[in-house]
Amino acid sequence: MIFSADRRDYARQIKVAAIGGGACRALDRMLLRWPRPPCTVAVDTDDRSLDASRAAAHLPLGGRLTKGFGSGGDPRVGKLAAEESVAEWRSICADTDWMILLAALGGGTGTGAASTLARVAMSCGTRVTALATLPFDFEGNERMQRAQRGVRELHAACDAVIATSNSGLVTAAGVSEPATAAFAAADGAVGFMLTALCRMIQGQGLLTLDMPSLQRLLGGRAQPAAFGFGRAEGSGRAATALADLLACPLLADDHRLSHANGAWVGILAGDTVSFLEIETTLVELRAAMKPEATLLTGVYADESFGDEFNLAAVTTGARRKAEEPGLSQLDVSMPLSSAARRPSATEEQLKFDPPKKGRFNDVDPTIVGGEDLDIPTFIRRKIRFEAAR
Amino acid sequence: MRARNDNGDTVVGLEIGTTKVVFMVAEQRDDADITVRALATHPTTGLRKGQVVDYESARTCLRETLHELEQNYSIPIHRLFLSLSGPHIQTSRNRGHVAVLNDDHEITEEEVRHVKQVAAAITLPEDRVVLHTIFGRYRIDDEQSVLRPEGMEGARLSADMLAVHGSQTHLRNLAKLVRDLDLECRATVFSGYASAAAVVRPEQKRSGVVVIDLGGGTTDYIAYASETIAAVGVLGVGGEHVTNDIAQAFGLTTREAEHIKLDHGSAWPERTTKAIELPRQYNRKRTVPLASLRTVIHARMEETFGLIRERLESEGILAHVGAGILLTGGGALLRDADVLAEKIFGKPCTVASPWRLHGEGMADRPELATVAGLVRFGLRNESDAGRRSGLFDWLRVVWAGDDEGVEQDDIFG
Repeated sequence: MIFSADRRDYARQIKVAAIGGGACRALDRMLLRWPRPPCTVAVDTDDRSLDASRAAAHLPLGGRLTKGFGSGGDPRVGKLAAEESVAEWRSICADTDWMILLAALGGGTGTGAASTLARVAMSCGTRVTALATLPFDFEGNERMQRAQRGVRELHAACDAVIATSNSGLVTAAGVSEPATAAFAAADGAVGFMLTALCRMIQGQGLLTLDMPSLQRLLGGRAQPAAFGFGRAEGSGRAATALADLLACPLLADDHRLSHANGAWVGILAGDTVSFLEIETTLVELRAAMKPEATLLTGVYADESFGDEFNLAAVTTGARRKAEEPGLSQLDVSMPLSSAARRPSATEEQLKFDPPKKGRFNDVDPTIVGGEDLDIPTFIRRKIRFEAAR
Repeated sequence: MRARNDNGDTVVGLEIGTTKVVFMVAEQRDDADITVRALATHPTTGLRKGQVVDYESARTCLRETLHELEQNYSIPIHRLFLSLSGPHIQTSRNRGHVAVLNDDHEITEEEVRHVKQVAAAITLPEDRVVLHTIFGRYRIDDEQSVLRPEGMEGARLSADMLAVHGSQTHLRNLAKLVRDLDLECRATVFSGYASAAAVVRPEQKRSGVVVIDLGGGTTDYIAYASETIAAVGVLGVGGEHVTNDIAQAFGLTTREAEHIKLDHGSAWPERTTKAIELPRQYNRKRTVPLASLRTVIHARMEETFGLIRERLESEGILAHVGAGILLTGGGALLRDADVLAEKIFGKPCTVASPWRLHGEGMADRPELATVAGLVRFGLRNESDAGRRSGLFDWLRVVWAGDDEGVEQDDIFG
């Protein structure tokens, strides 16, 4: 029999990194009501925002470039700042199994730095999931377009991206007055999702979820993921929560449970939860979804939930046609923008596993735009060709 | 004035590259052209991406190359000019302002000297060493942009400065290698800067040109626009990466990959069913499809040029480049590298070799650009040394101000 001296050997090392001012503030509000949070890191170009942060670790980005005054809303500055601080970020990613990036897109740092940091984390062998919020509608078209570009870049850089809109969060939480309560409700919803995911992955639940299955569910890359939730307490709570989830405005269009191609649904309830409640909920959930859709479930019971019965869901929508043209082997096109270049990810598509650096294995890597240029270009771009015989 | 030079009228350039070490001894001809007296090259050991990784083997390699040089060139050498590259090379910009306090607001040499000092005063982290301070255009009263402000009138004079700086650790280790050979390093020059000095012609510089030095471990670039140096940079990717990609793609040794790169490589993809036969191994016949080989090389070269293009575009420089792209360094010998660069930059592109360089076998040698630029620098600065001997500082020579400001065309002979 093998005894481990250190129990942490078994625990999945999960880190949550908030990138940019918006995400750092959201993380702070979440930490206020999060009993045993995983390791949190605040990442920003603005020293003031870092000083105020409650996160366990702080990483200032691009000290030389921005001098700690922030990115001025320019994603290019955010990106350059991230490139400057790659070494420090790498050391944060080093012992991490799963990195959850929290980014409030639309500004400079979150939008610009997130995809670069995600790429670097992936190159460290970490699984990366991004939880991104899009700006409120009233923040204007420009911020929204920037945010959408940010989501596309994240899609190219992460294992999975869960994107959701701030406006939707506020509507779903059903609170709009006063403004502080609305913001808190939006953050609360994201925080709830984070907590649910972390607890399931850390294996604290009755029915747990392993990372590879979640990654398979979300990892289709071209398919965006969304999240939603349902809550109820008291008698008939299971049925009410499920109805609440099915009607959740965050899961609209393709992402509605009845339309989704795949979903993960977590039940988080007080320790009084009955087996019957769990069983009925899961059976009805299955019935509500398309027969061919994948359903992954997790159950977590803890006295801190009291009488509550909460449902958290991540759904992937209908599979879209590949959004970008594949690189044919003889395609003499202009270089693709970094957004369209895909770093090493789903290894089963690669000819070589894992990415080989050959003679550059033992030297400082050349990281540009978050990509390790020592790895052959054809591997990073997944270019196919006839092999040697 | 040349009397100060221990080597008579000659100077020595040393390039410690990722793939080769080159010593060049050269002398100035009366017509400002340069004649190469001796040349010794040797494959490098102990360096990766321009940085020392195995000191002992790097030292042995330098010793052997020096020995080879001394067999061809009997006069002992004492001093040399050293080139330097690597991903640690970075640039910083700064703008300095001074008020013109003369009664008639005429800008004199005094103001120009002062504004240069102000612009050059930047604070860098302690582990950085400034290699070159390059002055661009001057501005008078934040409006007029001029090359030579002396004699003009204005209330305020501003100067733009571009500092090229490198890591002290890497510099120290390279300098120590030279010291261990009992040689004195007169100055260290960024290799991209040296290559440009060797291949760019004055008229190209006036119309704007980008020089890309495709080295073994790094790719250096330098862009001239509006008659000044507009951008300088290094990408830690070079010919060794191409070789490594080939080795990884077809399961070959580095040597085999290097061989088929030199014999069959091309930056331009081609649809062909031809195959390259490799020497038998374990009695097995091995072949590499030619189309695949070119696809692998094309991907790497397209990415490298693309990254440089992205950087130049983001700084708005490419629009000011009229004379196109000059490819130099050993990587420029890759077949069709110029064709690909032309397609990616959308500018005319040529393979450039050092010009006004004479001697046996000196024609069409783009791989000698850096070392040829070094001796060009050396000849110019050794002849200046008599005038300004006090300015020569170990490893940190602020001569570039003169090079790029007033007497900039002098670099080109």
